[in-house]
Amino acid sequence: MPKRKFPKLNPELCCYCGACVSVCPSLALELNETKIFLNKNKCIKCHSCIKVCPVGALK
Amino acid sequence: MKGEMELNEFDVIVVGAGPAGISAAEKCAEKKLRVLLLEKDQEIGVPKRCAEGLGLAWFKRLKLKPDKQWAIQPIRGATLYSPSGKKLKIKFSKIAGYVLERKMFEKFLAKRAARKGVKILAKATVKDVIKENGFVKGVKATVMGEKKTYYCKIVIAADGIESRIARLSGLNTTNTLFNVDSGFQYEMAGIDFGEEDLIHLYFGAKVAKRGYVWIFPKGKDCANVGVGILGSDTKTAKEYLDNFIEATPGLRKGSIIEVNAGCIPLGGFLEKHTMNGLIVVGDAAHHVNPIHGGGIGIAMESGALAAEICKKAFNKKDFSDETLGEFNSLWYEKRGNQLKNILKRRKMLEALSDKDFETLVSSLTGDEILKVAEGNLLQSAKIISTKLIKNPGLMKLLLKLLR
Repeated sequence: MPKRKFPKLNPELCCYCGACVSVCPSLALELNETKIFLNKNKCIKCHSCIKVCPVGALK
Repeated sequence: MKGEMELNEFDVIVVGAGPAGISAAEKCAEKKLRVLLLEKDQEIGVPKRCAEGLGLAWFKRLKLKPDKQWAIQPIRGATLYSPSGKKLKIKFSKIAGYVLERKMFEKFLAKRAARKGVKILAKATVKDVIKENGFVKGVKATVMGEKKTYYCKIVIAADGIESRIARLSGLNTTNTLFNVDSGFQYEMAGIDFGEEDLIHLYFGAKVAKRGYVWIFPKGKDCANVGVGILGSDTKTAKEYLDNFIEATPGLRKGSIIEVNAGCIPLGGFLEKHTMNGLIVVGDAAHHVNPIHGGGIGIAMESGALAAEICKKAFNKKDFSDETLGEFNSLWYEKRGNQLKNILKRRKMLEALSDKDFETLVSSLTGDEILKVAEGNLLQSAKIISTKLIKNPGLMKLLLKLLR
């Protein structure tokens, strides 16, 4: 199995809607008006955020 | 110098100034509690993560009088479109609801709450909750870049689908991918979509897997055009919507005046909404109708119920989970049990294939569906039995639904 990567955000596509935050099981994502923060110590690389993103801003 | 009278202590702090939060704060203020309402965004009502529909029953329940400022488009029914493009029109003689201008609606609610004594702050992001001896006692926030600490007896978490306040406090409100729809919407102008006093809903696996495309009119040539799909689907909601618009000439020629994204919690209501010093309401508690994904009314009601519980807790001077936990039974009694039944019905609908949907749309008219939905048994039986003779496929479908 290939090694899983941390999700990467394309800030120009992101609508800051919080969908990724709502499905993150490890509270690794935090959102404000214009930024999403990923806490790499908490992220378990499950990629739920990538799947739920309505615009494909997370890869 | 303000000295010891620094205004950082409140009875209740509400996090999130959407419909749930504003309603909770307003009702707390009506009950003479000192309330602080914190909104992370710069402006209340913006950005919307919503198609903006609100049914008339909710206006009555919430004692709201439709105002042209924010209830901008009366709706009299819906047109459903099958995967092959067959139309099923359901139109009531009276107004059945409104499409709102959320930006104006929430400002209206916030002003009303402020007049009743709620202290509201925008651009106030809660970073953490303060917990002492197992009780939520306040929040740490950044207000216009300045670090602030606020104390209270009860925090009401109305912070939307992110639901971070509950999770930071130790209550698991994480949505599973199966329980959410991924949603994407354009507010469009200069489009043609048919009658403006009907909402238009398009179904089919190609149009929207597990969900639907909606057109919620805001005038004759403007509308919220959006889609909701299964959260774990590999295609994005945006791809579904762009494909739909590209294939629909009346939309393709139009303009995009606003982009909205979000996810819709369509099931898995919290069993437990409370902790010592905490109540969770609205989207944060997954309070959404699991069939159509609407949640404005449900959110406002849950906010108001939370305020009732707050008042009780202050009367008893007890802010423990035991006292606040009454919210759980109150909410389920008033709304949650009904929504759970709706969730069951959705699971039946999910079992329908595109072909089944065609059968349904081609066998029944809108009037007939209305009569069946109104629950007149004799009439329903008559309609269905005559149709069954004409269309044996319908029988299979009914059996599938009743299974």
